[in-house]
Amino acid sequence: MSDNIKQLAKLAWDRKLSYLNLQERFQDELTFAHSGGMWRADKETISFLNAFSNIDQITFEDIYNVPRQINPSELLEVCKQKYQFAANSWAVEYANLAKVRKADNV
Amino acid sequence: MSSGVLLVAFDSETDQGNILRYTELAKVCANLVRKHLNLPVGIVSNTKVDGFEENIIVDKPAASERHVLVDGLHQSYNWYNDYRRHLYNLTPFDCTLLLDVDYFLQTDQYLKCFEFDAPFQIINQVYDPTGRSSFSKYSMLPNRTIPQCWATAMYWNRDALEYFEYANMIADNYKYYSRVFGFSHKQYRNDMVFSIVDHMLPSYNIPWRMNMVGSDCELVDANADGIKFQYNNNVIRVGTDVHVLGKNIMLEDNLNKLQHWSSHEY
Repeated sequence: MSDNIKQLAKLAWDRKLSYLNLQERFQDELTFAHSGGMWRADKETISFLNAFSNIDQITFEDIYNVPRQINPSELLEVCKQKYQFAANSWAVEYANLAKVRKADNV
Repeated sequence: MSSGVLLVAFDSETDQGNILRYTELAKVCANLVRKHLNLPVGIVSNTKVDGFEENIIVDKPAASERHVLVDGLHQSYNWYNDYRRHLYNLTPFDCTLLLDVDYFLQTDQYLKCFEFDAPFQIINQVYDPTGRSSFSKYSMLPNRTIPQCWATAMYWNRDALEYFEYANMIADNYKYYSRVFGFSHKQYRNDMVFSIVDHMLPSYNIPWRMNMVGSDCELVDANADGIKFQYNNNVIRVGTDVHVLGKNIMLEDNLNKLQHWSSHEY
């Protein structure tokens, strides 16, 4: 019994590492397939698409560097949805992690 | 077009008399697939396994000897690893995602492979959630010429025949390719074969890093927030898809925990 308690007391939890893992997950959630390509709803893509939102069709390279014909407004809409969803769940999980005080509660 | 997930599982006995129940682990994996991807699951095995939408019964393939640490004991067992390259003809699905049975899904990420639908997609980057970068040395094949892929998760559709033909050719000449790319020919590894396929033929890498924990990470518990691992004197909870290398997950207690967790609706 005392050995178990000693063992538990020794356990460490790295908060920063958990935040990093969460950020990694957030990055993964930004990826999505659309119009035959694979895209990432990051800030750069959203800004780029915003600049072309009044044009019907543009050629834009996906994350595999394949140029694809897309409708910028359509893709922008999906990007915004994906970003919002992923960022919101990131914020919720981040707040939960911030409450953890002991390795036992991880 | 039918879509589904395929698992390969052959139970094996170690030289210490322990049974490594890959088929039981496959049931855990299948529960998680149904929960997160909502897709049918097929299993390729040498026996009938209950609880799968498709059960493809085959002969056990040739085995290579593998050493593992189970329950604190170094043990060796026959590793029936050489079947993936035959799966193009065996899969009952038009679009197939193949997963290792020790890869536990906790998200719906892999649905993106079906939506993208390139003929052949494979993981080529791993992430160590313990922060130790334990697998960075495996980013390239041993002679540093081409990136290493991980056959832990592969997607293909009916247009992928040439990828599997190429994999079969490499496997049939495994010794030659092991000399070219600097890996050992003594143990057949799907990772090596499909890394060469990925390099030689136009393919797409799955665009996220696969979370993977080393064999020193012990399962502590699993709940709605993920799987908790202990390593050295640290703990971490992984709430995303994670490939678990430690074979202790096949100990009875751990299998029970995982069965309960994977079938529980949170």
